[in-house]
Amino acid sequence: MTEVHISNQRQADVVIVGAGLAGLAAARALAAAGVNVIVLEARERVGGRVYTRPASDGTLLDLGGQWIGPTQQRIAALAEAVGAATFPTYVDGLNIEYREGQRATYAGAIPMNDASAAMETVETLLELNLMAQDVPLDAPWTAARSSEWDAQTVASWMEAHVSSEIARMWLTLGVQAVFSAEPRDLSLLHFLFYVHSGGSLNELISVTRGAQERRFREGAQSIAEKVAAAFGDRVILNAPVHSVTRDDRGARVESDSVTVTGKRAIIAIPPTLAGRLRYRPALPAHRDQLTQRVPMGTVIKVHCLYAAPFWRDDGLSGQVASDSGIVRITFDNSPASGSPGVLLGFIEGDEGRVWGRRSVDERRAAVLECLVRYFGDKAGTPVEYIEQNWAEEEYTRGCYAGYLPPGVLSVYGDALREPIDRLHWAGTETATVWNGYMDGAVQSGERAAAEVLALL
Amino acid sequence: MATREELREALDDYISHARKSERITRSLRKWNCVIYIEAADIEAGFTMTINNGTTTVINGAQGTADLIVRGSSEDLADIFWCDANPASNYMQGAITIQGSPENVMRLDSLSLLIYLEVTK
Repeated sequence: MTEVHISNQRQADVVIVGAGLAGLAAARALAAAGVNVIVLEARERVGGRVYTRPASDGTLLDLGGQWIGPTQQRIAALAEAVGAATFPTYVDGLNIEYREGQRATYAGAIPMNDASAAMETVETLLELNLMAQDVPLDAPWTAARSSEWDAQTVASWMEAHVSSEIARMWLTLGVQAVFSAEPRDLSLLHFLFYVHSGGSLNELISVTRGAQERRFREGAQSIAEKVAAAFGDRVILNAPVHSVTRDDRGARVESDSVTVTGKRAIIAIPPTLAGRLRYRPALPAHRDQLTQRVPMGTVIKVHCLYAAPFWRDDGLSGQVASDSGIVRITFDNSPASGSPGVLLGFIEGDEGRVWGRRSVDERRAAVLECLVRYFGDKAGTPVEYIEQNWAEEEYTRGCYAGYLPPGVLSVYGDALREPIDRLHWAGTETATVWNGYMDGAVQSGERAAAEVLALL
Repeated sequence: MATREELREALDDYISHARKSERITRSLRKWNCVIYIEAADIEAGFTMTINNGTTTVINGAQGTADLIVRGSSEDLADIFWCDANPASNYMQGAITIQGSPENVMRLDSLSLLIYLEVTK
């Protein structure tokens, strides 16, 4: 006997795949224009790459995206609209520079204990920032030197232009921190576009006046939850989409539990995941070849909770820049009240790829060893250790975002946002401003919604 | 709080360090910019003009500024005497800069280079 699976059938004007910030921003913009939407989400929760969960004592921890900076107007507007308040990232005190087994302190975003290396780092940042200004945000593939820049990696550029090994090391750390990837992974053109989309490298790596300036009191996921709440059962959880069929009348989006048909669909998931859906008819080669070439970054975000932020008493900010170890960047991620003390660390790029295959216990031991080197013995006995490996998440497969290796942006970049028939694309990877960030996700959702509205 | 004269003295000293550094002079050659620096607490302002690698300062406002830098006289004096790291979180919040992204980037870079040159 043939088993026939009949899933729940629903209809909407627009079907949205993915209830991350991009999909929800699109839904919100469409609903405001009177359009009926249904959002299908694979997970049992909304938020995608923003995910807040409580520690054992109830302290809210952002296991994914968490920060907002001064020029991130769209996420700021959305947060304000739903009543999500922020507080400043803790910056009082000195940062720790750990280099060649030696620990020192410094102020600002760039370690300066080796003045010559610091000067070359500053000059290199300026040079890259000025180059980035030459990359058009809406069409980076049209930059005058796009072919030349897309034919090299950030690593090869640094090798040719940065003479100080220490300066190269700090710049590498900056790349790892921003992209969760290695300089050798990234196209120089994509890197420059990304920098320009956030303003400058200085803004990407800084706290004050930078992308890490503020955090959300209730956690970043609260924004997604509040937006989704307005939609009730029109946001359908636990519905991983596997197929999208389109014709001249609309789109049919299928999951195992529900099928939704609409006049148009917005696919608001990372390009690499979008490429894993089955499309009928098959997508044009240009689009499919793009999605074959946009890997996700690799990061394991770790939180260590302590009774109090003891490093503050030592005059330290909680920030570390290190040339070695499993965790090379840390922040004070304590709640606004200052209690408990929370140290945030990132296992990124190559470290994430290697340590992601080890056990939690092995990672925990290595992380604590690092923290003890940076902050002293007290760091070795946290009350709780919590980690989030984004590459293990079936419906994300990495963070912070998809990045572009050489030869992709200049050839396939125009496929990132170009609609195909009744299908539209959203997600932070498609943003022209703050690409890779929550703000970019919101921008992309609003842009996709505007596209759809113009055609409905 | 610094006086107008003290602030001008500090700024002149700051510029002299830039002029003495071949590295900084080289980076300034590619930049033309009129910077108005204002210490709001003492109502003092200075115009610094960078033109083809040379830097001049006059009291008051002159011409159209490409950049406007504002801070307290004390914070500005601390930066000009290189007693404070311009990239520190405090200074990033205390000093405001208005202007095009390119000019802001260049000024950020210049201020750090001078600080590093003096304090190395």
